[in-house]
Amino acid sequence: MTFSKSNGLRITALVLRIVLGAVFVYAAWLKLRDPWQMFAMSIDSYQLLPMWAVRVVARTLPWVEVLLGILLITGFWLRASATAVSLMLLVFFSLIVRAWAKGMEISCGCFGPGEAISWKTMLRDGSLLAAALFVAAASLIRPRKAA
Amino acid sequence: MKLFALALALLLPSMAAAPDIMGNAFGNPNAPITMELFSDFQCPACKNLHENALPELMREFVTPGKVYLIQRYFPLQGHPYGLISAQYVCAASRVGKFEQASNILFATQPVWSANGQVEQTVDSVLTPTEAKKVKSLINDPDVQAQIQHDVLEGRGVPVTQTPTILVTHGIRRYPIAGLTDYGLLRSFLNDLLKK
Repeated sequence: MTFSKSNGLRITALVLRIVLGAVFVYAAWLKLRDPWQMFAMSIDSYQLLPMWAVRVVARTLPWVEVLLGILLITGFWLRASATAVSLMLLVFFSLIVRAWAKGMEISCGCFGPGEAISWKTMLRDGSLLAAALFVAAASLIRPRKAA
Repeated sequence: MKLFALALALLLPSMAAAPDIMGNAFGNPNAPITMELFSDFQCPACKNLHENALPELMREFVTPGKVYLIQRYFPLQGHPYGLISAQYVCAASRVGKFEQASNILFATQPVWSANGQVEQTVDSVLTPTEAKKVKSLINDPDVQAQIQHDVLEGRGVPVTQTPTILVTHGIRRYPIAGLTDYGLLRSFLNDLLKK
């Protein structure tokens, strides 16, 4: 049995999507164990959304993360979930870079409260984004199974 | 950084005997919620919180006995007058002028941050006798120890930026960094009080 390049890519994509899914579920759990206002304060510190939107996002985003995390781990609706996760991480990464570039000394809010934005935050979120894009690309170029 | 840690370690024995709170705590110590506010007098976000959210917090939660508020000293190393301003306020608390000293420092923050006149600023809210006493207390071991105690408390949270509020309700602790909206804090505290 030979270990082909496509097999290697497939295994890499499988490992990455399970890791990404676990990271999403873990991040959601850290937010959901605290009162929703804690996450809302982190979102508000980015000074981007009106208060009504801050409240909506703080109450719903962790549940979306749970859903996407489970979909990634199980592999159901993989194309849609991997694309959604990539878009979400692209938004998160852009917001973090923007805050850092503006010199905003704020909490990231990524994994619960108390993490100030730094180069480590950007490195971590950039890596997650790269992994998500890889998983999304792998799922999109994978041939559909015949019905 | 290592030198700073070493200096803190050398101060530990004196800090063990340091009073935790002196003049910087407000409200009922038996309140269901304890809130510790870690701030630096030279930090603009701390000024914002002190002038906008704190008065409402005092009126709605601290004065009615729902929240016990402890204002902790957390001078940041990047602020050249952060430590000296904390020392003056801590010394002023020994003559019963914590609020007056902290209010004037936050109100005139841009001025003394530029010209370095911390002593003159604090003196403006003290009588000549109090000013003399405060000046003599600046390097008092108890004053130094209280500030170092608060810094260590903050590092244990950990405080990564100022202002940071540590809310304690029962056995749960909630660190809130960089508060921007008082409405969210009010909603959060009210939800905790219902539990």
